[in-house]
Amino acid sequence: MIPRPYVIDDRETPRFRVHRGTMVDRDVLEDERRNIFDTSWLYVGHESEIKAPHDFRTRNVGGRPIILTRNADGDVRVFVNSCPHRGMQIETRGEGHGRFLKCFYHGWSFNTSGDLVALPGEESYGPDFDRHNLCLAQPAKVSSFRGFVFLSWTDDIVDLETYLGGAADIIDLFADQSDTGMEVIGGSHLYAAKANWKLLSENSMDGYHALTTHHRYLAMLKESGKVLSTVFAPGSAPNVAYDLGNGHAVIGGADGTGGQNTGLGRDLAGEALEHQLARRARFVAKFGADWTNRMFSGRNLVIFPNLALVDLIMGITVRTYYPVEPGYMEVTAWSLQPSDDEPALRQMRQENFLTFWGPAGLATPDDIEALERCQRGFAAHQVAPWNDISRGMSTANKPFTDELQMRTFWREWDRRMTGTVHPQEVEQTGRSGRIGWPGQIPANA
Amino acid sequence: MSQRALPLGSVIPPGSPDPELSRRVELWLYEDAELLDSWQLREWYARFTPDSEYLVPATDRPEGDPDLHLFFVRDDWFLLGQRVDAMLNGTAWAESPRSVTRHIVSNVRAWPMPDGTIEIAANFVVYRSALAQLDVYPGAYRMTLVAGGASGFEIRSRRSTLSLAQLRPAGRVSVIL
Repeated sequence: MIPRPYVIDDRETPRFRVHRGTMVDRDVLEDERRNIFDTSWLYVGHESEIKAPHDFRTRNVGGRPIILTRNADGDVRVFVNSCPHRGMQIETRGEGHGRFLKCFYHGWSFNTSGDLVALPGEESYGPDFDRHNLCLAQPAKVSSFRGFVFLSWTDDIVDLETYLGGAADIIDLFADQSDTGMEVIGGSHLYAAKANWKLLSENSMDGYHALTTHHRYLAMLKESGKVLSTVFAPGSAPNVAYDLGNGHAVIGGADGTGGQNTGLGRDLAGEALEHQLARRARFVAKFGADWTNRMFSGRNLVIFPNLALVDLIMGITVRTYYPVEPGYMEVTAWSLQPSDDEPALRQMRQENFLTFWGPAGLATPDDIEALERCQRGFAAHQVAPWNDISRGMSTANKPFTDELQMRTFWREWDRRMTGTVHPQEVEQTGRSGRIGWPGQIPANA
Repeated sequence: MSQRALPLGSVIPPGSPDPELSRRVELWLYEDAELLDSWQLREWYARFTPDSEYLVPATDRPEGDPDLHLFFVRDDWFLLGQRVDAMLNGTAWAESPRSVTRHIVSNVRAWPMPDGTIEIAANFVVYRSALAQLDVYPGAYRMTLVAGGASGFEIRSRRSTLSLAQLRPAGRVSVIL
């Protein structure tokens, strides 16, 4: 067992520390399964992945196999991927289409509403046999917000929008980026890291590591002719960190450059740039300049505990991850795109996405390497027990290169795990509508 | 960055492969593997044409189209050069220090095409060892070559399709396939 406290949140010094044993200890992981993964809204998938009735996807959510599908009426349904008869995993393909989900073990068949519709030799079950008691099991709750489908394994939870709090505003910034709806394109990055899952929650919104860990990515951009000052210059893209409530946090800002090649990624040119500028003009008319400026800047959102939505490079990644062991996580990531991209713009989006993200990109492998080396370092946790996450704790401003966002994650984690309530570090508001970011953007951020 | 030939992983040209050309390409692919395993990456990169591409499809879209589907790698000549530079200068952190690799190439077939290019299909296995970790990447090559260059052929398109259901437990591809 790891000695408590797990988290030292010292507001006097100030200093914030997390015990490295929380990354390696099996009892901690068992507590996390109970206190976090079984009591949170967890990301299942995006509605665009199952466009037509009877399309399905299978995956693990919170350590349990599920099927995400649409029934004949077009309603999104989530089932436990386990036959009510003897427990066999019914569907093992990652994706497909079919009106019936059939368990080959004894031939039981279910429709996409989960009803048991056929079983061989039903007469042998007697007159009181009731098929309705043998439908596919479902999570306690399933709910969607702006196309993002979540489940909860417990009934004892607030509704999804309340859970999302200020993060709902930020999801709007992703979901509003198309007149015809955002979609997850075909194909997924099914990878892994030999590191504790919490390190990826930290890393997915860590602005401090960019210049060092991603040296080669930035070198590539510079070599491509990109003017990096348009991305990082103070005032051009004020990037700040926000505690969005319930453990969710974001780093992001508002683009002040007028829309020419903001964010990371190689510069758009020609037709692709024209399309992007036309899109921006449409959005200004539709949403106003303030909201559009925010949409056209980057942001890294982590929804507690394990969903990252990152818009950095005119591409958006949706990433979720689960612990298999304390020192090993499975990661799945997708590309979310406007469904109405013109071909030239889509091509640039595809290219820019892959320059940064994915297990063979010019950035993600370096993140994985960093996390795995941290994990190896944690083997010494008995003699070197503490991670320091204090950066920016003593300042009023919360630039994205500080660590407020990670402290936000850890405060909620500690509350779930130990019951310790950590007051918020900065005043934070809940869902604010489309007025702007919750809180204020510091003038000199 | 456009008009790609799109050699899909499992689609091969019609007709029998050319035995003599296949043998020449096979020897040439051994050199390709040796350059990668000996980290002579600049020399390896010199075998690509300026309009070339290096593609690695995602494991669940092995036949994917890079304009429509998610890939692992979609490098044009510039990006491939950047990838090589970072591996050599030590800022590709997963390859710093460098891993030990061995590229095994087999099942080599080559077809001369009417437009003068050469289509090749081959299998590969790449072993990568770093610290206590051994990663194994089995897969299939599809390449479009053109005659020329110091080595006899130049690469216009290199598609390395992994024969893996998932990139687990390896987690990433930090070397060139």
